[in-house]
Amino acid sequence: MKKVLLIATMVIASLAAISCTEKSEPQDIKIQLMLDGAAFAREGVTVELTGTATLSAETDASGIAALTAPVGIYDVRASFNDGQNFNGAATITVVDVTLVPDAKNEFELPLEISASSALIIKEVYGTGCQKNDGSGNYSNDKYIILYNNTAEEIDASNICIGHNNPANNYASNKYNANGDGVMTYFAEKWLPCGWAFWGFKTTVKIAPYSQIVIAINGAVNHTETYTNSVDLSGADYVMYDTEKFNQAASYPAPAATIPATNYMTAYKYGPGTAWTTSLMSPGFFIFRLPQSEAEAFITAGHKETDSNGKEVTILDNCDYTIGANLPNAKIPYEWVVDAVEVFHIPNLAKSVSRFPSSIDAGYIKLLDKQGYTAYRNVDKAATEALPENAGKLVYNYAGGTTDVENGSTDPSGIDAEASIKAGAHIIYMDTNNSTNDFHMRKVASLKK
Amino acid sequence: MKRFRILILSLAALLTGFGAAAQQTFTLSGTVVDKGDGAPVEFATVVLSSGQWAVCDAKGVFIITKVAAGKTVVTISCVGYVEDSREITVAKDIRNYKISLAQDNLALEGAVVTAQESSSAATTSRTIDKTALEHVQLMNVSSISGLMPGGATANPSLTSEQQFNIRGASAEEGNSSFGTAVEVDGVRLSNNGAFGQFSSSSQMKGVATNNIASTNVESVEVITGVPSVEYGDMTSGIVKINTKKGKTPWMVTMSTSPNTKQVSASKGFGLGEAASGASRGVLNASTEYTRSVSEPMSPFTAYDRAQLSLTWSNLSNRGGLASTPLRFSAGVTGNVGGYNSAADPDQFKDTYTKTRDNVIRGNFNLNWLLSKSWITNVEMSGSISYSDKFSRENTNYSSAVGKIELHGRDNGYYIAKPIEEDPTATVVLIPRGYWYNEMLEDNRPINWKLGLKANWSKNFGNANNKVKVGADWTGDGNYGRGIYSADIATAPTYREWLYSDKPFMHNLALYAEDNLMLPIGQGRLNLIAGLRQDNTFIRNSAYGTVSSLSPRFNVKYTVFSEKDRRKNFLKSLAFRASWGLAVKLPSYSILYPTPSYYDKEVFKSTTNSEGNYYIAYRITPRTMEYNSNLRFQRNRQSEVGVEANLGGTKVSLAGFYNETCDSYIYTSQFDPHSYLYTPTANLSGCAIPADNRVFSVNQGTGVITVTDKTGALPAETIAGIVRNEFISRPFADNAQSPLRRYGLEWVVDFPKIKALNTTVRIDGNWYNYRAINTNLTATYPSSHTSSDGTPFKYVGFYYGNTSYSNGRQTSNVNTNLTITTHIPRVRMIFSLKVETCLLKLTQTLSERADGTQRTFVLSNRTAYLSTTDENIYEGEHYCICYPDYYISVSDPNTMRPFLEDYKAAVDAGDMAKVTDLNKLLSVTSFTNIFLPDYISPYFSANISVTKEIGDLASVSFYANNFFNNLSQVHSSRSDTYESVTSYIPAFYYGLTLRLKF
Repeated sequence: MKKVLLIATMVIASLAAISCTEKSEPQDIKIQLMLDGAAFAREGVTVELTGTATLSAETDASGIAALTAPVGIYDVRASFNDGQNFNGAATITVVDVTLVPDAKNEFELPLEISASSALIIKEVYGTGCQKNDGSGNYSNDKYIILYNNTAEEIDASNICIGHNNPANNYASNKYNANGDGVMTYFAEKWLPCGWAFWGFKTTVKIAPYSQIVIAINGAVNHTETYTNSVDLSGADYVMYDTEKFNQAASYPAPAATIPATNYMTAYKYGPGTAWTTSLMSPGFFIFRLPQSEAEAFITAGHKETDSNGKEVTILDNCDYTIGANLPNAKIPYEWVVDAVEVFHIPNLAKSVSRFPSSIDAGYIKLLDKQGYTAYRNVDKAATEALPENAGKLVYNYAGGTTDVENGSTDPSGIDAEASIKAGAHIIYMDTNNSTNDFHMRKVASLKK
Repeated sequence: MKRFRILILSLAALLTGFGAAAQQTFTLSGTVVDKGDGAPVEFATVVLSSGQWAVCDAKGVFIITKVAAGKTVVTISCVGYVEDSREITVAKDIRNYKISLAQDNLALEGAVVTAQESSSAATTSRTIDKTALEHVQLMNVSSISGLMPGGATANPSLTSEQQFNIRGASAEEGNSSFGTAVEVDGVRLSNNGAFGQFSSSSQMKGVATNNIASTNVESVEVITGVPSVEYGDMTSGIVKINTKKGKTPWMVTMSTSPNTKQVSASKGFGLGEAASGASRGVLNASTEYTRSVSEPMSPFTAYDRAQLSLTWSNLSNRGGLASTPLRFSAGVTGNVGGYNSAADPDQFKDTYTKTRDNVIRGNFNLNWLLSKSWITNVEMSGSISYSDKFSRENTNYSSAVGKIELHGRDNGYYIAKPIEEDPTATVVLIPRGYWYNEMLEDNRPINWKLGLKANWSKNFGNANNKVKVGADWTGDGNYGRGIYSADIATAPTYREWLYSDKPFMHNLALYAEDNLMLPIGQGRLNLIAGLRQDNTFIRNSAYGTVSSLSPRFNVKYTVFSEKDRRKNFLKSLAFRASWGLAVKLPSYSILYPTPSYYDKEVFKSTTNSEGNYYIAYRITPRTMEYNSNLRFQRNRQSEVGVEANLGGTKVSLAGFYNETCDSYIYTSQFDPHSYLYTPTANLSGCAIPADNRVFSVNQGTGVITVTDKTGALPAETIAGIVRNEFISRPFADNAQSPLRRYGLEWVVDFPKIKALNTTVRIDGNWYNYRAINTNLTATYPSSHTSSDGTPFKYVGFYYGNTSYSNGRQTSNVNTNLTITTHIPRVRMIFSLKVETCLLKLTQTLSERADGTQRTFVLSNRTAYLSTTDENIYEGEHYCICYPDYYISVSDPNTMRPFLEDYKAAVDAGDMAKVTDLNKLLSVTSFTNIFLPDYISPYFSANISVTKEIGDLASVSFYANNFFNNLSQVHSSRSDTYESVTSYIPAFYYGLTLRLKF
């Protein structure tokens, strides 16, 4: 009932706000940072509003950002790092207080604290490129790069790769039951992992400031046919488990250079002949789950007494909200190592983040089918602080897409790939906010 | 044999039921003249209710001898004139009987632009005449469905196939459009010889009407009730299209609408007389060109129809045939055209789809009027229809690695061979890169018919009895080559399948019908009883010979006739009832499902630097079992009707109840299948360097062997694993449970409002459909994997469909208001038709034949065990359906009770099995699946106007949904709103100019 009232209030307020847009004056609003249910007094935090207008303001000593905004609906975000990542996201509706009785344009922005990861997703190339003959896009060349963002070797053997389901975050989402962007699984602190996830067969160690390239489809040289594509014949690992996923176009025979032990294993609990991920708005995440426990995790269940007083068996880790025959595995927050939320540029207005602020408080805006890739920004200060990087960092990065509407570039100005080639160690941004951490790169990093 | 005896006895009973006593006969002769100028009407046809007839000569003179004494109805018709019908009493020779026919134009009172009920028929039959057809500007004859009671207008389209669907809907089971017969001048248009149209996802479709030239149509008769036994191979009704015949002036038509342009010309040529004075008859020639584009903004993908039709008809009534005239006609129609997207710039370069729709139809008819005491006339007719539906589709392909395509049909294991080595290999590897390939389907169905029919009419006092006996021999076949590729080197996976290999399907039908008209008081009783036997022969096939009987009965009691009660409020009243059986012969899609092959990838090497690799497949031809138990689909049709004239308001009501039994369906069985799987990872121990490996496979065992192409190292055998699974085997079958359609159709024609020159008509229907699938149906979810990572182990057998739903019911109430203003003085007719849907209900069903549930309410969506008896139709719940039985790869011959084993696995905590069996469960994704879905009422309004400019020209204009209704309708089930545009036509318009000279 409380939810109904809340929604009704929001709808009425929204209608009032929208209906009054043309004649209402901009309103004075206040946004209070919150942490653990209490006001969080932190000065100098930038609070950004996007939606009806794009605005920003810094908080005062009380943690309040005061600004004047036209009536309308806004996404509000704030992120800062204070040894830990503080991220907050909310949706607010600014109303004309002269028209809506008792209304106050005072809002709260809850912050969540999360730690940076040693292992990060450095790049997601998953939305395809144009074919040479102009007949459309080619997308069986997807890959993901995992990167050790520290000076210590990482054991990634227990890392699994999944994707958030529903695959497209701008389509209707049954988890977004109230339409307020607060997914129902947020309360239970798990992520819905669509119909299968992948794990390694062998021990995987990633050296400091090093990466592994994982071919999602086709560990072959795609550029022989599609010059805009990538050469994945040198991939380190490939998602290849043909007894579970055998669609020929998605899973060609891997290049002979990839040892069979580097073929990843699919832990499959849904239907399909291919592990289909979104070409527009993929939501990849990596999590730790020992391979030996993966199958048991999928089938785990317990008995309980239902509302009819009868004993039934409940699967512990499967959720069927999206579809009765399309189960999602419930991956606990605490297992999640990193995640990247992608918003499809043509559908920005309809997109809703599938991750909580503690995992990814933002999103990277990406245009599909053009060979663009979601590439992580360089943490300029940290990278420049590494003494071994002296003289090796290459600046004047020109790989961004600021010439594309809603495109982006790396604000650090450091050309990470060129710097790595020059022997530098790159520390990438990891604020658990993809808006800050990623940009849309013009070409996949494997191309240059 | 027993059925033959029954038929012969029935025929004998009918023929001897009324003694052939001597009867006094007279001669009826006279002239037919034009009402306007008194000119004789040559080729006017005069037909008596006995079936006797005459054709007027150049002086308009006709003569019919041996007319039985008593009352008879004389019907006079001629193209371009309004048909006249009158009852006369013959008690002596009638000479110089003069009949004036009025020219059919808008200067006359009483023009109608709707379907008219046939008042003389004993079953529901409606006719749409030339005026109505021109007013609605027919482009595709299937559009006349909108003129039926409660019919909804659809915007004309030729770029997609259109079919008739009588008392049925396209989304329903029971193949109602397939069961609707279409005849053009007696030529049955059949797609019995068509292949490949039947799949599990769609019902068998009826014959497409796109290639019927609409401008040459004179009238269309739609029999929705129980038809005469002379009509067979149909279960849903008959559409009889009659083209223009007789002497006519030149008629030129030009039509335009956003999608379609049309031009046509026709003329009925009088061929004059021979030197002997005998008429050379009439030659009707008609030609039409129509082009319809799928998108007016990009008018390139188009359907073309270029048609020429010639019909010659004549009469021999001289010399020895003076008293027994012979009328004959022969016609041929050729159509060239089809669908073509090649010029469409929106298609990728050089890709296209071209489908011919070439047809040649020929027919002849001989009608010999004998007027003997034992036979009145005999008719012989024949027709042939040959279609060329050759299609070509050019597709572009590309691949980053060599692409595998399979063309072999033999069982076994095969390694793919590079196409340059052997393009005819069982499995080929097309090199990576870009290429095009054109796939072709040569589909050339043919059907023919030869018929002989004898009629005998006799009066007994005021009673009349007519007997009809006949035989039809029909054949269906296909001369097509089937599917093949222009270039095997670049062809996608396909297998040759010769259509022309299949034997023809022959059907010999024998029928007899008695039609008795008895006067009772002021009224009359019409009793019709008929029996038809179809004997279908398919040589050299499992189907052999199949016989089926179709008895049909019609009774109509006319209590009062209008002519006797002009001053009464209740001017006329008639009741009728019908019952009958009808059988639909199967199509070749049903008789010969396209063979399919199961291609399992069993090994894949790594990819070399050229992008190529070795891959092995196990090909398993699926055994195509021709279902020798297949029964022919039949329809049990019942109908009652009442017609009345209440103070000038004509009311017609028809209630019907149709039960379709043994509907053709397509289903699958599942057979256990084993194969040897060799994981790529097993190559890791191979000592031969990757670049030197040459792979081969044992065709029988599937064992992979690697040899060193340098010869340096010995060959190695790669270990494989035996995998067990199931593969499907499709076949045609019959639905075990009948589906039901019932409803009510009404037509109310109010008296003309003379001051406004306006008539008002309300017609509508209440239509109900209910179908439940009760067949035990199997499924194997092959895209799932068992929890141990192996191929899925189980096949589930479900009561009805393999999902939570096994049926659907709908209920619709549609009513149309047509206001027609006809001003004869200015020769203009204007009509407004408001089409309203008052009730649109759909409900998903899940139940057994006895009404008990087969799907159950879940208290917890993830619990998967229902623990409640709650009714799925009440309230909102997640629901679950379990298979009744299942089999496993370890014991494929034992059907185990599913729920029992499922519960046992749950109790034993065998979560691996529980998780696997879960994949056979069907759970609803929404809680409102089984709630009735009421769509709120909606409407659409169409206007049409036709104006004649003298006798030279006429112009028609129409606008469908001219209010451009874009409102929303409410769905009760989801409590959401959606655009009404899903239910009504978009705003659309068209203009036609006709010239007559």
